[in-house]
Amino acid sequence: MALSPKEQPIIQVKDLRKEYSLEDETVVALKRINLNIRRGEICCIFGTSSSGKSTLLNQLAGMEKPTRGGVYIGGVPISRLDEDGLALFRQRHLGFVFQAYNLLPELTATENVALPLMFRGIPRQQREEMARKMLCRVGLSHRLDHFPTQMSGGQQQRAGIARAFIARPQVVFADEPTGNLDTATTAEIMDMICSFADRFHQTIVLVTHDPEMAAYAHRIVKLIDGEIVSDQLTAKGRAAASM
Amino acid sequence: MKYEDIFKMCVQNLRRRRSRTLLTLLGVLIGCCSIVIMVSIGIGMTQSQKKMLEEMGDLTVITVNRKQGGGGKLNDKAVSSIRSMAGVVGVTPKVSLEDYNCTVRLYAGDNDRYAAEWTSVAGIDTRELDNMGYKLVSGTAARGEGQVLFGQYAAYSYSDSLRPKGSNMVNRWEGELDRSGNPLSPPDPFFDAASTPIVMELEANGKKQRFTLQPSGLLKEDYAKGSETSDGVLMDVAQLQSYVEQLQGSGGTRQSYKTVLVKVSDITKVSQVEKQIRELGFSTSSMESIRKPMEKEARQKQMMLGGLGAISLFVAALGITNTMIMSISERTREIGIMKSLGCCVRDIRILFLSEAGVIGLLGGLVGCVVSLLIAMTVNLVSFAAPPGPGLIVAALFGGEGFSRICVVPLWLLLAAVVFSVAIGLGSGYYPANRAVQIPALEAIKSG
Repeated sequence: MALSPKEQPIIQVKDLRKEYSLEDETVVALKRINLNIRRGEICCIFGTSSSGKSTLLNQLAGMEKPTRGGVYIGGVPISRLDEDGLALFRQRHLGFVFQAYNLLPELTATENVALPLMFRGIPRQQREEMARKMLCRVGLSHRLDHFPTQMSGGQQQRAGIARAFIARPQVVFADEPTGNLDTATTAEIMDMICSFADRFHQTIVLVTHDPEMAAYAHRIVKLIDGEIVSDQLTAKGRAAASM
Repeated sequence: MKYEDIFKMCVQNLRRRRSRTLLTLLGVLIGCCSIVIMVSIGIGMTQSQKKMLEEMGDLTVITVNRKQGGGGKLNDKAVSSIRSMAGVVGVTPKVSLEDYNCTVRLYAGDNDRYAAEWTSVAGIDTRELDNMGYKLVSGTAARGEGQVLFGQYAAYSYSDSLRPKGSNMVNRWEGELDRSGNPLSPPDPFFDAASTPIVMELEANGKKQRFTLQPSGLLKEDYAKGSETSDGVLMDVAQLQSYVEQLQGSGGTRQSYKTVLVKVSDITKVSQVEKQIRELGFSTSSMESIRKPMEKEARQKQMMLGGLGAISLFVAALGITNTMIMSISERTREIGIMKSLGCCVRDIRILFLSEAGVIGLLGGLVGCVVSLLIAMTVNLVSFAAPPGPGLIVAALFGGEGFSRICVVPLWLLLAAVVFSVAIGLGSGYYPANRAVQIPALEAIKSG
């Protein structure tokens, strides 16, 4: 599939290989991955456990160094950035939605959502104002000053989404975002993620083992044993591409 | 990240683990207290030693004598060459009547009504009076012919010849005494020594001669300078010599002095000046020879005490490190989340360092307050008097006539706080580095 210059991929994975050394044997988690993800795409990385999907996510987000090859986001070789470079890059361009929500227990919903802005050095009043707006948008206007333990799983994940999108990142990584939620809440959460992505033309990388989730994606990349075995556009993806 | 945000997070984290923070803080507090108290005991020891030496004699005065069996003549020429030495602020010969085998009686009032025996009469260079550190209670220094200075309580040594024996003297110690043993309101003597002319009768080899002395002022009592400041007579050395010559004929009193006193500007210059004087061929003595070894011993004791205190602060440092490591292993996931949300390495390091630093700072501050209280209590107990507001002030800051066991100067408190903070930061360094190395990946790990 040829790309026009306009469609320069936001994420480029080139010949990515990742090995882990376990005592005296070497486990190859990713064999040789080549992948391009376009701006605005909702890309689902699908696979069973030990398929290498989590390893791929870690590589895409710069959490681990590859054994070979590299990952480029917006042209930046993030696999070669140092800790501080990565931190700054994450501040500006990346957002995360975690399976376990990962809200800090000592902070209120507002403070949690404002956290990425705090790391960027934005003054308290300004960032909390933005956080409150964001929380209202995800339907938590009545939970602004609640602590994570006072909220349900769905509410916590909505706060997590607000936190992931508050800094308007170009790419949001979602790692089994609905893994701990029931079906009804799952639909709610996924709709919310997709609508945010649509509105600001953001790219979502969704990692899951749940085939139902695939329905929300434009594209499904299937991993088995560290290799891409299929890469297909969904109906939704074809519709988006033809637009 | 803004510093105020880091600080807020740091306080939040410390409060979250309140009991652990308090226990760690207690460790620092005890360490800080033990250093402050130990050092303050050392300082108190040095101070009371110095006070004791000062009571024995002026620490900055060197006594110069002729060398036994030879050496240079201790005359005016020697005096002026000593005067030109660096650090010397006053030089005076000192002679006393006893040097010339004279006995003396003093008379006052009509028909020698009041008489005093066994008075010490001394002569110095009265121009050097101020430089040598003599203080006057009233009047001016004796300058003119026949003018002399009397000791502060000179008038009490006279007996009234018109009264029966046993009740013919005024006892200065009769009334009530204050805490340090001085009379509160001594009774008035028979006459005012500062204004009453005195007749001095000298006797040597069976020959008697009388001289009339006019008081020009009263000296402040100071036993370090000699008993003449209390109940004797002090006059110019030339005048004293001339009286003796009139009595004994020119007996060569002016050829050389038996003793010359040298006052030095500062205690640190004593040994240097002493050395120079010895090079001129005189023998010297000063409190320096006693003070030096005492000072050395005090310094050794102080270091030993301070070292003991420091040990407990180092133990406290281990406590801080332990607490921080525990807190980091509990917060591994949290640190991972912060990193994955874009928190810089530097901010994480500052966060953990400041947590350790705040423990040190608080421990130091509270430790200073506690050690002040301890020092105050120890001092109050040592005063062995019912505590009152005045005594509490004296226990904390010292006062006239109080000898404190614990002396806590401001610099010691400041140093203790700075040291505690440094210990906090130092012991937080390793944990902070560990925190920094926690990968962002920890946020994704399930659990």
